[in-house]
Amino acid sequence: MSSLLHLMNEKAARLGIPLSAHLDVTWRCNERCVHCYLDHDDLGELTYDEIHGLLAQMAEAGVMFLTLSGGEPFLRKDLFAIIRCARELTFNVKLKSNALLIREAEAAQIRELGVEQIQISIYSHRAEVHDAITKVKGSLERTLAAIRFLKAQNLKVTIANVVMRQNRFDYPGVQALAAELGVHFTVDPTISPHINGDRSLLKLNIPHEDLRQVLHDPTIGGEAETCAPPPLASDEPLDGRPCSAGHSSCYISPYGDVYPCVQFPLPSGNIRELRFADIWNDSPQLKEVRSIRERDLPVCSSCSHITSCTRCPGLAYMEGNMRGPSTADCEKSYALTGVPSANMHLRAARTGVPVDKLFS
Amino acid sequence: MIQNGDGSDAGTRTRSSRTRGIDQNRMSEKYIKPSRNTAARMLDDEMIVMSVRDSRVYTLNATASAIWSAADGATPLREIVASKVVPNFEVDPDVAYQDALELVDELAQEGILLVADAPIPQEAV
Repeated sequence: MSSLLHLMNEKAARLGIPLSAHLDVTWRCNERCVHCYLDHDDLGELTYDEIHGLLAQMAEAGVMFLTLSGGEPFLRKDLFAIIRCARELTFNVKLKSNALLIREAEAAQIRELGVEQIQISIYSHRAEVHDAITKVKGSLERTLAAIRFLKAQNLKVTIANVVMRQNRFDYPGVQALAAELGVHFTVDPTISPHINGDRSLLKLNIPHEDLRQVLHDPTIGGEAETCAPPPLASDEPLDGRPCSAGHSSCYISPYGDVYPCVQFPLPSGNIRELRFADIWNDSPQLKEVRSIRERDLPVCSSCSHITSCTRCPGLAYMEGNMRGPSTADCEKSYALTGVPSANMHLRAARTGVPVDKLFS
Repeated sequence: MIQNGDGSDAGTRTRSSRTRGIDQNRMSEKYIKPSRNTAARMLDDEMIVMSVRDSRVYTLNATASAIWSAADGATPLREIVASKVVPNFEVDPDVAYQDALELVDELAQEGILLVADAPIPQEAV
């Protein structure tokens, strides 16, 4: 994020304005990725008219940066109408997609509508690995063809590479592929629990030694994706906000549920029952999220990583306490520095497992 | 004043107000309209504008934001300055208009604002 955008985000958080929002227009998908944290049944998605009304309310509330995602958003027949509506309301639109349904005509339409960027998931440069993760034969080939169509339209494309056990040695190959295609590249070595709370997906996380290697790899530099960047340096770090979730950004599900973030599934209201601004301003859940400062975190506030940790409050919530540690981020801090976190010391004392064996 | 930055860093640039001869540009009206390739939103007292073509971000100060918000392609710039800038910012009308001309020229060069000598149709890019 540029420092100008970072400053705007800080200003929005200070003023309580939702500058960014992530709207999943569907959870249906044409891939069945082994690590996906969503259910894919249609339980009554927002209609086009409902989304139109929601976008107007969001624009009025101050949302500027709009991510449209899913599921696979192109499974909605009215996706282009939704994008058109968003652009007429002068949102900055970013798409997240597997791109299976994007061909020349769709790429041209994305360009014509003024989508700022599109992020596409690729798990490996090897078809047998990528297709085994998506469970769709031929998906890598189709996705790469789509990226070429998008590049031909001079669109900004980012390949997002989620690293898990199945593909942990392939990120350099994906990075090389991104360079060959002339697109951006991010790598994310974090697997999220299922949105219903099931944590069994976490077994797909890469072993600690591999995580250490990814985080120390000089060729990926700052390309490791963190959705919860550490707060700006301040005179008093403990006064900082954990991340932008609920402060200047939020998530809306295909059913109208508002959460602080897609990785922070704390139900905070539904836009079928309340206006977006009323949820944003008055939801007790969002007010609670907003009230939390670093000093309020019972374990993390005493941790030596407090000023550098990318602690995700959503992952902490999924572990049972939004004020608690996020173990995945403890592991990252440990992998980066070799210094155990305060949470690791507590766990070692509680379980009797030596601190250096906790992630073995 | 405008500030801008791209996706990797925020190079900033300040445009200061200057007074020039007030008789220039009296001959023709100017019409302005945001390019379709922009996203924009007011954040407190400043307008944030982003070019969706190259991801450059601009922030406009209060007077520039007032002009941007009124840029409908149909209202002459002189009228926008007279109704939105002069009464709200206690500035000499001719000085304000000269500054506005400089501003819209700068934004046009950045590719985020259309400037024309005739009203700009709604469908214009």
